[in-house]
Amino acid sequence: MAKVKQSAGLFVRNPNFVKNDSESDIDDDEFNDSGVSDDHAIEEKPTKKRKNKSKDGKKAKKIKSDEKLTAEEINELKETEELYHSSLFRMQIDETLKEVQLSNDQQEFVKKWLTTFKKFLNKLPSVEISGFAKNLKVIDGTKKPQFNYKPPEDAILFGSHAIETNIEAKSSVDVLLIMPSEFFHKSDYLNQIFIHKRVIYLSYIAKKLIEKGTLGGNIKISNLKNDSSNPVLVLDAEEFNISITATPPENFFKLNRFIPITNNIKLKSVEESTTPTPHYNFEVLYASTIQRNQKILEDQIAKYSNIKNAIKLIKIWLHQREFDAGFHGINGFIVSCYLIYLMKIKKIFHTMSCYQILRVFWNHFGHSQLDVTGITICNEKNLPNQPSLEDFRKFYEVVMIDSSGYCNILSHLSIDLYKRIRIECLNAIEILDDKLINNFQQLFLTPIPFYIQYDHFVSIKCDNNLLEQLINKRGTVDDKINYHNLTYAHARKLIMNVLRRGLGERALSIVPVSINDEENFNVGIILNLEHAVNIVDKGPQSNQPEAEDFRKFWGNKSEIRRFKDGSITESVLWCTADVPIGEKRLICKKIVLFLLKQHFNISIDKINYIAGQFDITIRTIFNELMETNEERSLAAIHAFDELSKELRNLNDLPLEIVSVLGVDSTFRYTDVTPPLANALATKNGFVSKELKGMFLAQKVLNGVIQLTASGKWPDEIDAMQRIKAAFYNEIAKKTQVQYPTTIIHVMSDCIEVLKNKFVFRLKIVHPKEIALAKEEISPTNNLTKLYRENEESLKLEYESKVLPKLTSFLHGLHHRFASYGPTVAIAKRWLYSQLIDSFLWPDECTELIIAEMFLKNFPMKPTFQPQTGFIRFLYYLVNFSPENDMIVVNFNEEMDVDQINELETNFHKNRKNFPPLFIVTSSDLPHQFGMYSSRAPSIEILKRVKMLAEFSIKILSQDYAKLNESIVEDLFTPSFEGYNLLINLNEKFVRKSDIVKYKFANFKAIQYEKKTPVGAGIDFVASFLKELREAFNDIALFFYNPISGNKIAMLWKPSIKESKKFAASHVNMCKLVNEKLHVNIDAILNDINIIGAGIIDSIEIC
Amino acid sequence: MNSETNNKLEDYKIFTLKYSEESDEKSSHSIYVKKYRSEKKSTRKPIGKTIVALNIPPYADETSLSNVFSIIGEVQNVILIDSFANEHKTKYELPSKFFKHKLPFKFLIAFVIFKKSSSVDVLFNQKTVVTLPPLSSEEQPLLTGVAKWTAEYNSRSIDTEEMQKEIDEYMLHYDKIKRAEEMNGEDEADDDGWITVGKKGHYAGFKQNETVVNRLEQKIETQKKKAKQMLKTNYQKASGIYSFQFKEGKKQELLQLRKKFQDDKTKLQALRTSRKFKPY
Repeated sequence: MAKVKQSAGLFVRNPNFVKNDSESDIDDDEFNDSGVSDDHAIEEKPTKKRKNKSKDGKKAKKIKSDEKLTAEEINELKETEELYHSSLFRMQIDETLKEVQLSNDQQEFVKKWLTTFKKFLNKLPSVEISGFAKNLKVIDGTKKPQFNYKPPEDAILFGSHAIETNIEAKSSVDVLLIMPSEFFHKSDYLNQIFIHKRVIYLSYIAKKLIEKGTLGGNIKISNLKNDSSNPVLVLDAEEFNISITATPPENFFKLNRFIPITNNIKLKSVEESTTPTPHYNFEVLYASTIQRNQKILEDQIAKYSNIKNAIKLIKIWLHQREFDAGFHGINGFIVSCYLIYLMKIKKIFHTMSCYQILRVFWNHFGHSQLDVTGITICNEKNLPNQPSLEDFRKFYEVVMIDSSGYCNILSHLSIDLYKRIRIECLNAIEILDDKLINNFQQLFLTPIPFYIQYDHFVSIKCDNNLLEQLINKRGTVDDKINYHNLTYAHARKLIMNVLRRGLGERALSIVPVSINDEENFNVGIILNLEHAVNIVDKGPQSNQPEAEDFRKFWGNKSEIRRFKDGSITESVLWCTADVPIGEKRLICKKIVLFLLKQHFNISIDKINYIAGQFDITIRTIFNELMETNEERSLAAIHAFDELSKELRNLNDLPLEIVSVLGVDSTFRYTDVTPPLANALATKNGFVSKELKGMFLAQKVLNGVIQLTASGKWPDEIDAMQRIKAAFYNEIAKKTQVQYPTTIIHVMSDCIEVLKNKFVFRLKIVHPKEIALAKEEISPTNNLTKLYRENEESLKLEYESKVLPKLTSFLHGLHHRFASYGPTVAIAKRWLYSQLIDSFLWPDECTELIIAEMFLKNFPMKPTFQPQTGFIRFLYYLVNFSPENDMIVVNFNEEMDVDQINELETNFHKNRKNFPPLFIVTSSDLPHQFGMYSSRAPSIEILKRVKMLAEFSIKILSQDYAKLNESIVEDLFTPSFEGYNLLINLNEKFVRKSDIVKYKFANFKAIQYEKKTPVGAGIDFVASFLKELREAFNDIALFFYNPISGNKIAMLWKPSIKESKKFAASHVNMCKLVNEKLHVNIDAILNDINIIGAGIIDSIEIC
Repeated sequence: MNSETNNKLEDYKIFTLKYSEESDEKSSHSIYVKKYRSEKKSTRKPIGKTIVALNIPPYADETSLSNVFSIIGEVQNVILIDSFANEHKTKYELPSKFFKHKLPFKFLIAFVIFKKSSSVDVLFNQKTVVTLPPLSSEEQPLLTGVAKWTAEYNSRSIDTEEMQKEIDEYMLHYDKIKRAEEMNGEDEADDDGWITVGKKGHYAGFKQNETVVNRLEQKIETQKKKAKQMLKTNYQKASGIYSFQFKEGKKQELLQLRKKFQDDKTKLQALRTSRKFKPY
């Protein structure tokens, strides 16, 4: 204790040291202040207080607001905490609901419009209407329907508008016309007569509406939910659509005529047919039950705003994922009915908050079994002929019975889509439970279009009535009747059944996707990471009865094989075990193409299988197969691990080697061009004769060596360097003795090691070096050593601490998700192709952005296919706003919620203190967040990359089903427009990469003899670029594609045009004109020629 | 501010520095030269014999600059630095074949030290017109580009024996200096009765570096605070017995909730400015 005091005294004698004055002021302030706030029992953290104190006035306000805690506020706060996820979540719900609400004006407009419309209908002349619906095949022998026009019995609003659950422009205002009963015969439900009559009735009204022209524009008859049996009259009323449908009067057709098992389509050829027609029955049933179901909705939902809000949110959620699109997607009516079911089984109550309802919905729907047991919202049990749930199940894939007890409202819903939604529901719950992300944004505000949803995407071109032919050939007689006029639904059933069986456990979801084009039949596939790359499909034992079926399914692909476990079974082998992983990822492609050919005779040229098109950008030219970057990375990592082991086992070193860690991106599997194992030690074979070196290698991989701690290191940086060099010598000598096959080349600042045909460059790192780099002498007393971070110390720290940690994290991430590495590689290659290299946009930023997407399931669970990962990356960039979002990569959840929240608050408050792109990771130094992006990218580059991403996404989404390699080539071809200067390089010095050049198509033409590597570590273009950037960073930007780019593009910074007053600090690069400094552009152009002597071919000034 | 950075144009003389004979005036840099003045005395840069030249292109090196200025008079030494901030950082180094400090490839500041002060006078004489010779000449070419990078690459291959020898010599020298420094710290009173406090010995002081000082400082600070907060903490720790304390706890909870609410509100505000809540 005494000693401390003494020292303290020593220090006090030296008062004007270290601490700056302002801080001590605040301390005083705090001291005074605590007197004031003492009687106020609520203490805040002292740090907070300081901030408040510094601004006068705010303090007083704060105390005042603390005192007023009204009962109302207490209730609201408590409610939010209990009933909602968080107050932020609640506020966002409110904001979003506000956005999608129809305004009062619009409501008013609808009312007025309906009155006018009714008047209009009443005034129409009663002429004879007859004919058939145009796009329906008429059943032979059907009498031409005809009747005289009469106004409908009533015209009413129904659907979401009527119960106020519409979500603005995305739902239309539905109007129901109740057709007079005189139009119908009792038997009109048969053979689609009812549907024909409805169409011609609506068509007549449409014709008249067009003549009148004041009730709305763009009038047409279209198919509701892409279902040609369900026509509606659509009017464009500026902000929303009005869709008009017509039904027979309620109870005109007896509902029990339409139970699934009955036949209502009598084809002439099959007189007295008894084939059940459940899918046709549904069409009539649906129309007949609209009014009844609408009443239920009004009774059970319309009164409760929380339920209505929940429905709206669910609808938004579904819409963002495009589950409501296409042929009978899921819609608001289905959601509403499901909520009614949940109320029926007492899982939700109208007193619940909409957040709670939402949660219950996701939970229950996610675990529902509509494909196994089905549910009903009908409360009656003894209706005439009422079918049981099992009866429905026999005829429909998914079952949910409406309030009438007869209509399965999910009749046409694809079972695959249902399963997909089910999975997505459970994902939604997971997202909700993650406290670290802005889950609202992710759930409701980010559209997730189909092209980023699926790992693989199959698009079958349906020209020449392909689907009809397919049905004719493969469909059963019964189904042809049942699916009469439902070509798509029928083909869907046939194709999906085959694909589902063929892909088996390889796929998590196989979903028919309808994009707004009629020409293609599309299927999206989400693969199972575990099974998708299985090289063999094992069938039953060949002597078992199922074997016949298996052989029939797989045709000549099926072979009898003996397996290691001794079993001999029928099986299908897709490739050998040693093919590259890039090829294995495409096994599903092989399967799908095979099955489509085998079962439906669809030839390959009719199918576009979208999965590996982008892989070509990271594919090595030395393999005929699709070899992406993983194999080479893995080989390098193995070699490095072996080397690391050897070095750690070296005997008799003055200090033991504790660890040897890789820092190169190859060790993270994210390198675009990992080296081939072809390095060798030689004196010859260098680019020019003047060069002397020891190794030839495609690439030198960097690593760091850590030694055991010791207190004996010198206190000077120079001395430290020399001790390290002596160590290098020692390591080389010892290795030579112990491991003669490992060749070491000693340099003054590192060693280069040749191991298993790879060259590694290793440096010793030591914490003391960082401390020494930070050291500076206090300017106030010229004695005390201060430790201040500076560029050099941060660089050292980054290389020796941060990067090894990051490397091991990302290495682990790749092992968790095998598509991580190649995804990053494609993304990097894309940036490079746009002339944006690691200097302008650090590679680590790309790696971390994608790591965040993988770890946080942005926008969905990690994808299996790197291509989809890459498109998601582009999509993420488009939606990412660096101004407001920070990227948090929380490896192993090392940072806690509070820490991140605090950082986030700080980030929003003092945005300017953070770099333009702010990335936080748990591998950051505790005092230095955001190291990865502190130097770059600049705001300008961020904007440019975002623009490029937008452009790419636009091209991709326009014609995703037609994606091919020429589109890929377009996206990876830079534009050289708009630059000030183009420096053409001497090709001799441009490094050759072993991945496909930007001329993707004829990669085979690239000669194989270029396989021999170059001098290890030689990259004169990189040296040139480095010197250019160091010299002219203040006045110009340089762009270059490090993958064999033969041009450097330059852009002047706008500031070069300014003239400055003379000052010693401003004279660099300037000439004096009229006593003002101007940037000496001529001299700089000359400098570029001097700096690049020998490497420049020509310079173009644009 | 350093005296070097004064901004008077009159102090400077401007010359054109060509790279080679072929370079023309227009595409060459102007260098700004003035007499060196400094408050700090330096044996390496004697005032009167030293000039400062600004805007030296990055590819120039000491030798080529020495050649350029030899036209005025014999040059003793040229020192290059990248910014005045680092002027005094360059310590005296042993010349080494293997360990060289590499300057960043930037526009540099050169100190040219002439053997005679008369050379400086000649240079700044109003009447004399001086044209500087180019940096690179046929006899002594200044390497740039491929030739330079080739040389750099080749220089990486070194004779390890030779390097080891140099290191051993350096360390010997280093140890000698260090030992000498330590020896100075003997605990003997000097003439005035003052004791120099070294790292070792009876009266050893503490290391004058930031961490140590800060730690001591903090200790003092915490001691003060502890005393100050004694009462308060005792009072708070005892909570939980009386109903008013219970109430207090609840109130605090609510206030925290509200604080979170306020935070969220500001967050929302930020979101609102950037994004619309329109989902599509």
